Amino acid sequence: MQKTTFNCPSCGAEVVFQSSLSVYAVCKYCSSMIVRHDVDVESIGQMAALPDDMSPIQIGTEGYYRGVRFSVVGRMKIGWEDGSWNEWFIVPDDGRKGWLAEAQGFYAASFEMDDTSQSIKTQSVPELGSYLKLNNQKLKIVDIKKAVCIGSEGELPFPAPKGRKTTSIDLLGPSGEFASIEIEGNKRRIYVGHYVEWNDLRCQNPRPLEGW
Amino acid sequence: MGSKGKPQTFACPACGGTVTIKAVGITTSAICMYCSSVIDVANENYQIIKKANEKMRKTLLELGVRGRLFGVDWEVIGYTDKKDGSYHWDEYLLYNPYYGFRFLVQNQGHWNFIKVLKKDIPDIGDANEVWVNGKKYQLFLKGEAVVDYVKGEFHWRVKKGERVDAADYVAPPSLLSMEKNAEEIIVSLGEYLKPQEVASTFKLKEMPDRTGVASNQPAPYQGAFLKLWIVAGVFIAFATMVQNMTVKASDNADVYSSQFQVDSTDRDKTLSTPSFFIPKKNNVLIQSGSNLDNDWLELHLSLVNEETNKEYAIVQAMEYYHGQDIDGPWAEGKQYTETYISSVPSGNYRLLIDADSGTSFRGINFALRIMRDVPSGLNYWITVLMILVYPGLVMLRRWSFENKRWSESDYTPAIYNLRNE
Repeated sequence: MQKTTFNCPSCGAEVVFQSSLSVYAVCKYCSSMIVRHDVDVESIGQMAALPDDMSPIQIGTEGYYRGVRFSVVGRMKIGWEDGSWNEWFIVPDDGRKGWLAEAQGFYAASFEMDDTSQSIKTQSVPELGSYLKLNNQKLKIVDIKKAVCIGSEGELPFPAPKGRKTTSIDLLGPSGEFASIEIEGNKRRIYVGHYVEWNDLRCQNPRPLEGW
Repeated sequence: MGSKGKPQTFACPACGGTVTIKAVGITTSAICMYCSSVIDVANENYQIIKKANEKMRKTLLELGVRGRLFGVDWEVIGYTDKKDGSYHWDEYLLYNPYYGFRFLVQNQGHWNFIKVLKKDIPDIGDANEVWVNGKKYQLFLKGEAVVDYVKGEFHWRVKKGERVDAADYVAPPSLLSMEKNAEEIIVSLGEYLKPQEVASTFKLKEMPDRTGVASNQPAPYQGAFLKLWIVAGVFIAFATMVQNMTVKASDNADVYSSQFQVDSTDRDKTLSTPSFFIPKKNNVLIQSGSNLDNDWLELHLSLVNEETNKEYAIVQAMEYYHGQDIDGPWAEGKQYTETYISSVPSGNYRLLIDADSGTSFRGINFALRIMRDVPSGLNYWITVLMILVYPGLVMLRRWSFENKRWSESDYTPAIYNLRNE
């Protein structure tokens, strides 16, 4: 990981970008949302406090996915009509851009896929229950929802202010393959990966939880 | 780093009572324990979904109790009473902030530990069998599940009267369940739990009586079944080996053989063979045969040791009748018989013969052959039979168990279908 340090334009405290892939961070002292440019940083406003949850993961948690160590460096909390979930930005040792989704007690690790293959036509509207071929895997669309960012913390590969709206599509494979398509305006990102068990993540420095 | 995660409390918008949420951030619906109102907690503004004013029902497992199952501590945070027609069962929602959610289901005294399966099973709900993790699941029933009562908290929007289509597939002790409504299909994988396991986990003194055989209840000796047959196979192989060795080591030697001719003048006479020698202690086989023609022959034989006078008496009887009737020619009986005498000590012997025959005792021929150390298959087959008795009984029990299991299903495999339909 290539660590870079800046001073928060708002409060002057040290803001560390653990990953060179990160372009956005929330100052942990004053909650300023900071966007990184080539040489300097800019504050784009204030992040409201994140609603509390019982997540066993926190920024600084480390774990393993398929033998590769990763650290958790940021989080987006996403809300939708029927609740919310966490998207943890993970930086694995192999330099990929990864996410650990944590929803309804399930964990799914995924990595951004090169979207030049045009495997999915941008124009076509994916339909619930239909199948898509991603990464040579036939995956079923199991969920399509309108999502909105409730808040973010730590550092992220794109700005995620409160109110950021996306369409989130979840896909599921026959052996627990997981994929997610995130549509933000006319921008689309595809993530592919796998559901993973808590024990297999071998987490170090999990978040302390009262009573557990 | 982040603050410590802890349960959340708020005042019930209906009655003001304190409502506690354990799965903070995931729980979508919470039911007030004082007034049973259902509160929507999915978003920041909590709303009453359904106002109620009734006392919370008592359940076998109460909210807040914890127990360790499959190496993980679980807390009961929700309870649903579900029904299909008038048939009810209990579903307890278990929670652990690290491991997520499980269901503990009680149905007719049978318990299942169930986890939502994050795998796409293409034909589930339609196919008669589906494969998961290399295991074949057979369709057991199709029905519906209607929520009749709820308490606690849930990570989905619960509602009394909510209905889903359901299908169960079994591969005992595993259970694959599908629940489907207009929006989604939820597939989950369950494992049969022994009631004693649930009782000791949650320190329950009284358990509902177990009735019938559950769809995915493991059959007696399941798992040990293959082992049982392997053990039987090994025993039989061993017995066969011993038998082969015995056959090879046997002398299988002729001692004496001769033809005899008797007629009515010999009726009360005892014939005797010349003296013959048996060199070592072993069995003796006496074979006799006669060309009987609508007649019978009874030989009272006595093998006598010339030194000790010890006597081995046997009777050999044979009869042979044949003729012609309305159905054509017929024949019954046999013209040959043989007898083993076991453990005959070495020494000089002779065989005394008293022959008796039918009314046509006008002269009859018979042949006698005496052999020693003849390998007999009898002990071997008795051994094999005895080895097979236990696995055979187990198989019978298994079959009757499976029969009972599938009697509850509308999709009974042909071999367990005893009903004439």
